[in-house]
Amino acid sequence: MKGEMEMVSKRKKAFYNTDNFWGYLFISPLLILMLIFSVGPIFFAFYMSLTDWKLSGAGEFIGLANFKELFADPATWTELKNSLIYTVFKVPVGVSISLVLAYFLNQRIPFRGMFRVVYFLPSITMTVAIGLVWRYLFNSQYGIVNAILAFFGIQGPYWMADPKYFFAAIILVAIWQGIGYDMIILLAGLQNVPGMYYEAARMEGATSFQCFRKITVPLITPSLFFVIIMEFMNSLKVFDLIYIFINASYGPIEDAARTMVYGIYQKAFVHSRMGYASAEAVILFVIILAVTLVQFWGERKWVHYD
Amino acid sequence: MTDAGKKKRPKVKKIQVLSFTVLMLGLIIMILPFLWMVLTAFKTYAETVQIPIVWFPEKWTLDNFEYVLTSMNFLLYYKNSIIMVVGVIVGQLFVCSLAGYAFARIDFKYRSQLFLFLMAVLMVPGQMTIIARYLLIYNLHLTDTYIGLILPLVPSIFGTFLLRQFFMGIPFELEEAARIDGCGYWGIYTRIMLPLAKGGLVTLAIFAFNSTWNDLMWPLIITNTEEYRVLAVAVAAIKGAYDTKNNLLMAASVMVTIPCVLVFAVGQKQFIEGVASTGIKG
Repeated sequence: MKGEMEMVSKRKKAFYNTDNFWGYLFISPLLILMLIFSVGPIFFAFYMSLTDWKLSGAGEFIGLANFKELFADPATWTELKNSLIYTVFKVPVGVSISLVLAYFLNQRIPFRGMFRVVYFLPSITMTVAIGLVWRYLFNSQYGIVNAILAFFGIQGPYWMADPKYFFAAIILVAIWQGIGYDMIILLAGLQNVPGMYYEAARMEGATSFQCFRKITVPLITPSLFFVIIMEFMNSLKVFDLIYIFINASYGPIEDAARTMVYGIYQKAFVHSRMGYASAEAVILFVIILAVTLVQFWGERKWVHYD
Repeated sequence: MTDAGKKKRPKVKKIQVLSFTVLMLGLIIMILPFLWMVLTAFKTYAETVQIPIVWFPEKWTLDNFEYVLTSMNFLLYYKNSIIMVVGVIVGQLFVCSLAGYAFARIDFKYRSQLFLFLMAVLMVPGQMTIIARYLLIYNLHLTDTYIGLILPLVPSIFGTFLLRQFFMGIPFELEEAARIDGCGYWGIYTRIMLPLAKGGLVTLAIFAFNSTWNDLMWPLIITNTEEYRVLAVAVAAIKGAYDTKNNLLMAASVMVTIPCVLVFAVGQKQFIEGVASTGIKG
C-alpha cells in the first residue's frame, strides 16, 4: 500500500522536479565548459598530432610523420633528457628535505607558526618574480650567492653563463620554491600519527632517528605517496621557471635548460606548428601516464594504509 | 611543592634543539631572497652594480616603484590581472559550488560514473590540451579579450572536488528540515548550502586567486597586445634596456608579490589547511 502510494507520487512528480533534472542542471555549467575547454581538446590533441596543422586552416593528415621528425630532431632528445634530469633531481631531493623539515617542525619547538608561514611563502609567490630574483642572486658579479661563497673562500662559477651550472641553478631554485608546499602536506600526515606509538618506542629505548625511520616514515607513506605522485607530474610539466631563466637566450644556454613543455610552447606558439607541437604533447602525456601507472603499481609495495 | 613544579617543567631534548637550529638556518635561506628583493627595490641603479655589494640602500628611494608603475605601464597590467583574477574566482565559485553540491547531495543518474570521468580528466596534463584550447579561442576571435583569458580557467575539477567535500560535511537534517518547509533544490543551495560552506568557498577563492594571479602560460599565449597584458606576462617580458636594471626588476617583483602576500596573510589558515587536507584525502 505504502509502496504503491510512493509509486503514484513518483509518477506524478513533474520532470522538472526530479533528482535527475536538478542534478544535471546543477552540473551542466561545469560539464559544458569542461567538454569545450578540456575534453574536446584532449581528443583534438591526439588527432592534431597526426596532421601538419598550422595556426589557421585545417591541417592535412600526415600519419606518423610528426613523430618521425621528432625522433630525428636532436632538440627533442635534449628536451626529453632535461625533463628527466630535472625530475630525477628535483623530486627525491625536494621530497627528502620536505620530509626532514616536516619531522622537525612536528617537534615541540617555539615559533612553529612562523616557520610554517615563511617556508610556505615561496610557493605562493609568482614563479616569474622568483625567477627574476634568483637570476640576480646568481649573477656572477653582483649576486649574493657568489658573494657568500667568496666569504667562505670559494670562487663561485658563472651560474648564468655557463651551461653546466645554468640548469643546476634552475633545479636548486625549483627545490627551494617547492619544499614548503610538500612540507605542509607531510606535516599534516605526521600530525595524524598517534603519539602513543612514539611513547611505546621510547619506553623500549629507541633513539630519535630510529623513531623517525621505523615509525614516522612507514606511517606517513600515504601522504608521502601523494606528494611524490604530484611532484613527478609537476616536474615533468615544468615551464614557468625554465621560460623566465632562459629569458629569450639561445644556443648552449637554451639547450642546457629546454624541457619538453618549453619545446611544446616553442613549436606551437613561436613557430606556429600546432600539429608538430601536439605530437610532443602526446609523448609527454604518455610519459606522465606511464610514470603514474608505475607508481600506482608500486604503491602496494611500500605504502601502508593503516 | 617546588619539587613537583620542577618535575613538571619538560626537559629540553636534543631533538628539539636540533630541529630548532636546522629550521632557523633554513629560515634564513628561505627569507634571504625576499629580503634582497625588497632591499634592492629601494636602491639606485648605481648601488646595484657596486662591488663589493651593498646590502642597504644609502637613501631609500621610491623612484623605482614610480617608474615601474608609470613608465613601464604596470598600472594597466595591474588592472588586467585584477579583472582576470576576479573573473576566474567568481566563475569558479559559481560553477564549482553548483556542481559540488550536486555531486555531494543530489542522487542523479550516472553520478558516480560522471565523478570518475572528472577524475580521469583531472589526470590529463593541461599542457596537452593547451594547443587545441588556444586554436579554439583563436578561431572564435577571442584572443586579446577578457573572455578568452578567463572562461577556459573557470571549469575547475579541483574546485568541484574541494567544495563537494565541504558540502558532504553539512548535516542532512538541515536539508530535510528545509525540504519540509517547502524548499526546493535551488532554495537549499542558496539558503543552506552556500552560507554553511563559507569556509570552503573562501578556500577555493584563495586557491583560484593564487593560481590565476601567478599563471604565466595561458595569458602569455592568449594575449598579444599590451591592452590585455597581465602582470605575469609583463614581468616575464621585461627585456632589452631594462633587463640589467635590477633595481627596476626587483621593484616590479615586489609589486607582483605584494597582492599574493596580502591575500595569504588574510587567508593563511584556510589556505594551509586546504593544502594539508589534499594530502590526507588524496
